[in-house]
Amino acid sequence: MSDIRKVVEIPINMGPAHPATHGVLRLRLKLEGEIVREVDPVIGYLHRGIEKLAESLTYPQFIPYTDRLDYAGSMLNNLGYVKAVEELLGIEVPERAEYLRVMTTELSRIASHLVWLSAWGLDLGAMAPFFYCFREREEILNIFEMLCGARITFSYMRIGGVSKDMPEGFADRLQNFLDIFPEKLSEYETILTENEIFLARTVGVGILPKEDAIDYGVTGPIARASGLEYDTRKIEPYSIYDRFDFRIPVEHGCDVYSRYLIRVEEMKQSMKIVQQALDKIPEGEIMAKVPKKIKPEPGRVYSRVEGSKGELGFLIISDGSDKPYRLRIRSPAYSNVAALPVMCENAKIADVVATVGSLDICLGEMDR
Amino acid sequence: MSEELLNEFPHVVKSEDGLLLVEADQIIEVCTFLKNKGFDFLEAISGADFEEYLEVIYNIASYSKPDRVMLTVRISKDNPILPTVTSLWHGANWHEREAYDMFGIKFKGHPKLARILLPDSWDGYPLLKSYPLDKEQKVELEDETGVEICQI
Amino acid sequence: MDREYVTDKIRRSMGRRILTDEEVSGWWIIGGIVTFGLLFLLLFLKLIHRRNEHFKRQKMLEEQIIELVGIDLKDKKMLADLKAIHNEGYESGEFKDLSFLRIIPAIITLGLYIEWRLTKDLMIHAERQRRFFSCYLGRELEDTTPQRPTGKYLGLGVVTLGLFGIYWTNLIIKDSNEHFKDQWKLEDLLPEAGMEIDEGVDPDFYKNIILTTVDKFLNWGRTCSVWPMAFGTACCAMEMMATFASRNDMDRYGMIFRNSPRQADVLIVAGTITQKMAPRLRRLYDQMAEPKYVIAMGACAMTGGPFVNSYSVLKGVDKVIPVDIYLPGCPPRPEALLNAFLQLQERMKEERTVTKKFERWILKDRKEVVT
Ligand code: SF4
Repeated sequence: MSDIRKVVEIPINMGPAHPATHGVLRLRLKLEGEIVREVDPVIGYLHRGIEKLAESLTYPQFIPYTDRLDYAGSMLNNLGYVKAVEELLGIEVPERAEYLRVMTTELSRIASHLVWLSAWGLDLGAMAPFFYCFREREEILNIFEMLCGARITFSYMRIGGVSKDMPEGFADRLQNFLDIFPEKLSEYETILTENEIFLARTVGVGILPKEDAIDYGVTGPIARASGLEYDTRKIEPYSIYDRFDFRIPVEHGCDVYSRYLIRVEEMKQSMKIVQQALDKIPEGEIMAKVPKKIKPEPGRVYSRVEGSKGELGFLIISDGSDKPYRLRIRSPAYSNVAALPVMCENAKIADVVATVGSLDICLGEMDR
Repeated sequence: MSEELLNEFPHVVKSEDGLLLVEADQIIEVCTFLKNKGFDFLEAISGADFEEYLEVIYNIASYSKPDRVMLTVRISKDNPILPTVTSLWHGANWHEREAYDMFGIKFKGHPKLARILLPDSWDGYPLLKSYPLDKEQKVELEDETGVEICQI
Repeated sequence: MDREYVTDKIRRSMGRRILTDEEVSGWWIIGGIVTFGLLFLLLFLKLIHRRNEHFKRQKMLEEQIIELVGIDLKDKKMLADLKAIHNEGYESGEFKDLSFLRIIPAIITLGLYIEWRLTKDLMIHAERQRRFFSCYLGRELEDTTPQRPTGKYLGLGVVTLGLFGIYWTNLIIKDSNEHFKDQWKLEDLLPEAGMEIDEGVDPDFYKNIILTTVDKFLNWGRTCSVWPMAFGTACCAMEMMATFASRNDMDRYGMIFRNSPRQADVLIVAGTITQKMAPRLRRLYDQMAEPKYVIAMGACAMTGGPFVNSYSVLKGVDKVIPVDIYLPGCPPRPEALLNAFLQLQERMKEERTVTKKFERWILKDRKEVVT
């Protein structure tokens, strides 16, 4: 009798070409009926060897490759890299460039969260947010295009500053966007935040307790949704973040729904920062005095910024030549996905989709 | 923090060229000490290849304060073995696997030391300086059942 | 752009001539008379179609020749001349398709309008073409297409209440047939001569009105519902998503994302393919149902792009799967992807699935027919 009721463990393969894995993540699941007993993420399907390539490129030549790390919000990677090199060289960035950097990175963060929201909505079966979010994202991309001519791969930041100043009409357009965006954001919230179906699929799903978050080195919105008040912008303010008034949202739900709330709130905070920066931006230079040939002294530096997915770090070892001796990228998604087995333990298989989506992974950055 | 470490482990931790050098076999003790002091956030474990030796770099920070430490462990190239810190941080698992994948550094006591980013059939450790960029790899374009589906 | 590639393209346009330059038989006239003019309507449609197709082919051929001359850049004057002659085609309206709706004025004028138009167009076309090829070959070619006095014919037609049109139509058929034959001979004279068609294919199959009509119908259906399989791996996937999202909205072309290869017609390879991923890509491709197409989107999918020096990146997806459309850019803009789709549709229109099947069935001894 007992044999009949015994459930057999079924291995199931999810990915690497699966719509809900947002790229080429692959999960090996062990199922017992509907319940997931074991999750084993297999990564590396987009391992492009960026770290090795960096060793054969000069410092400025590597900037375009940072665009291709986290392609949803490339500006943040740009900033992370140039900041590390500037720390290595000891360069002071002009005031105006810093403001431009803050504005573009925060807009990039909004764009990245919008992509996340749309793709995750699709995963959960909500088609409408996809179209809404991309409408606003296109506007942000237009603003970027005005600034540097590219939509996704900007290479806007340079070692010692930024490549272009604000063109004519830029401020108006940005202001216009900032004016309409809150209204649009509330539109998404009406679709999702109190949606019965949405709540049923997200509340209490994909729990990551605070201790586990610390254990796995999780950062970004996921850590903040697990009750960790950790944000590099506040804990170790880089650039000019200490001049702005914004707050770090923290939730204690530890679940997928909290991550959603965090990201929506973050978009609002980012908007606040952009508004302040736009109001206060001073006149002046946009490039510091940088030697023609960038040759840092031998040494090493680890510099971190708050990316849209979490803490993005660059470890650069210089041997005194014009190429980095070793460049290591600490990508937030790498650590975040490592914690996936904890989140999916004993969950239903449909919840795995919701959980993976909520991580906001970006394979380019994860596999490097 | 570095003074504290130097005082606590006078024979294990050395300061050299602004680096904190730690003996390979004592890394767990040092990390435990750090963790108890509030350095609970393991940012990254990275390898680096210097011609004579390999380096493993531990970036440890804290979730509540802005301090961080960078520990460096030097190991010989012929016998790159050091103990794992997965018992302290589960997050170290993947970082150590990556160091193994890219440099061939072996971590004693690691739960599953296998390649993570590259295919299992890969030959060589690509981030070593001796690995040429254009090295031809024999890529097995087969699926898991062993049926060959294409050839490059 | 290399020379060989353009030469290949020229050969392909020449190879298309068995499809575009159909010979129309004089029996149509008899049939038209017997059916009291009903068959004439069909005939006119056919003639219009033939005119459009032939002129379009000529336009492509000329463009490619100009491109070829531009690559060599030996003779700047010739290039300018060729361009000038080519542009005349735009001005005279030759390269513009004659709409099938013109059949309505043709009915009203008892066919005279369409006859007049076709004769005039052919004469302009032949004249310009002769000059073009003369310039290209560097020697004066003789004028073979007879000049018809259109005004006089028109008058005659009006006087005889359209009956003269019967004779006139006959002349048009004859003239065009002659023109095509002459042109074929001329094309064989070109230095790039040599047609790229499926070897061993019997051209008769490609002229069979039933098979080609069925094919055209199928192609129409296919081009109107191209379902792509989303295979986005890296940054290019962002632009792919943007193409399908609200601003660019691919749905209006009948393109809806599918996530399963079994339901898809087109595989968009958007992003870097690593050696670890390559077998999976091949497998997905194998799972798709025929007919299938591949768009290699972005520099990475084409050649490896910025990562061409990397140890783990596949240097172009064409190493593992055949590619129909290469779309350069890093990443290409959504508009570029849209354009790639439109080009793919053009290509799909030339598909001859049924014909090929039929051929395979008839020519059983030939094991493999090039698909
Ligand atoms: S072509 Fe450029 S944008 Fe596209 S996947 Fe490759 S690196 Fe990314």
